[in-house]
Amino acid sequence: MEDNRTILDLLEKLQAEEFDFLPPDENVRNGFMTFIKFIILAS
Amino acid sequence: MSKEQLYQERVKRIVTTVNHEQPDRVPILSTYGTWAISYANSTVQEIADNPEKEIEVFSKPHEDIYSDATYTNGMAFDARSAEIIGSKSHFISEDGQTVQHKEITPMEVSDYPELISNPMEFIFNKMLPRKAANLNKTPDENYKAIKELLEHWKVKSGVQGRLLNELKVKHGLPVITGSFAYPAMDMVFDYLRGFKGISMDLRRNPEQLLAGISALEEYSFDLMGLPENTKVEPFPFYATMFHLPTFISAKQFEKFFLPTYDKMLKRIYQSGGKIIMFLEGRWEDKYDWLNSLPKNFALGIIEGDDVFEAKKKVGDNITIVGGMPMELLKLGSKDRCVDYAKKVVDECAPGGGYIFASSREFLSKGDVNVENLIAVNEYVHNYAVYK
Repeated sequence: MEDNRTILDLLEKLQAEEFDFLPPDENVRNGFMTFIKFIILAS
Repeated sequence: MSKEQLYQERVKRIVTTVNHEQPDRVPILSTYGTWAISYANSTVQEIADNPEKEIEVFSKPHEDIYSDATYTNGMAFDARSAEIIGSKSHFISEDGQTVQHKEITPMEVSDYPELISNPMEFIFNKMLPRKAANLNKTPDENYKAIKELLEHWKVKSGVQGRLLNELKVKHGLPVITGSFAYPAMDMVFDYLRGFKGISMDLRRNPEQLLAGISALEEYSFDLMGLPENTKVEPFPFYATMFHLPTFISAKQFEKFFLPTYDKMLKRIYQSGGKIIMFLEGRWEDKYDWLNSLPKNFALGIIEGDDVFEAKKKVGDNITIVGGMPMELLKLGSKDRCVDYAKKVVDECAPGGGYIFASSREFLSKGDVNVENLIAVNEYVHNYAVYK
């Protein structure tokens, strides 16, 4: 099956699977994802 | 006095002056960018190879040079992030001690409808793969790059947290910038359309540009991380480093820049926070706006303007930061530097609302004669005492 996952799909997967180093608070995790998105945009 | 007491004393000194009250003495702000790397005799690559080195490098100037606070905490932009995603936006200079930014403008004018309709989908799924080669491969390969970037920032953000603590615990030194307020129009300018693109858009596509800026408003707020009805401490400050405003007229600033940016400032103000604004370039034509901000809410780092005029024209409303010309610190004699520092303090300090600093952030090895900087900061620390 063709893999059509976009960058946003992959960022969602990243947050779901790789953010255990952060507190479980969704606000904290969403905030860190916003920051990672900015690093990607600015780099 | 303990380092904790010293830290608290310095914070009080800054907050007092920002409220246009006279503190015990004029606070001194250090603005060390990548210059700290040359001062510590290190390289950008050495920090990339050994991230903990950033703590030692960015602490080093504070062992030798007096200041009451420092502007930022370590290196905000490194070349490694761009390298991981396969972008050429940041790279290490030939001197090995500075990082350069190359303007990349991956958004075409024909992309505006997509930006306006769904900014995140356009930016991340369509635009970024154009500039980031490692985000333009198979999904598995793209994910590998994203995961590597996360690992890099897990380490880097840990290091920056420890640097912040090191400055506090070892030097009693506060970092004046806590969070960033990134204006939506500067995002369009810096990362989407660039100087040439936005200059054309201002004239040929003003409505689309306005709608594009508006589309990025939500992301600007998310990045600021300050939900409505949140309360924050007045220190450290939110920070904006303005990029485009010096290149546009007051009329364009009002029409394009302010509709989104003013809302961000309103949110900070209502939360009890304050904003430090790096007024890059010349700002005289926008002094009416600076005077329209709530009194004692903003600090302005004066870069290209005459600091004495700025003090007279906007200094009753905002706190003036700066005044010591970097060129003089670099090329002048020690006596001339000290004489000039005295003149700046004599004219800007009365009544509070003034923080002594250099006119520009130090980036390269040759930006400043360190002996002059040490002499000037020691002089101001001892001389600029409120009676």
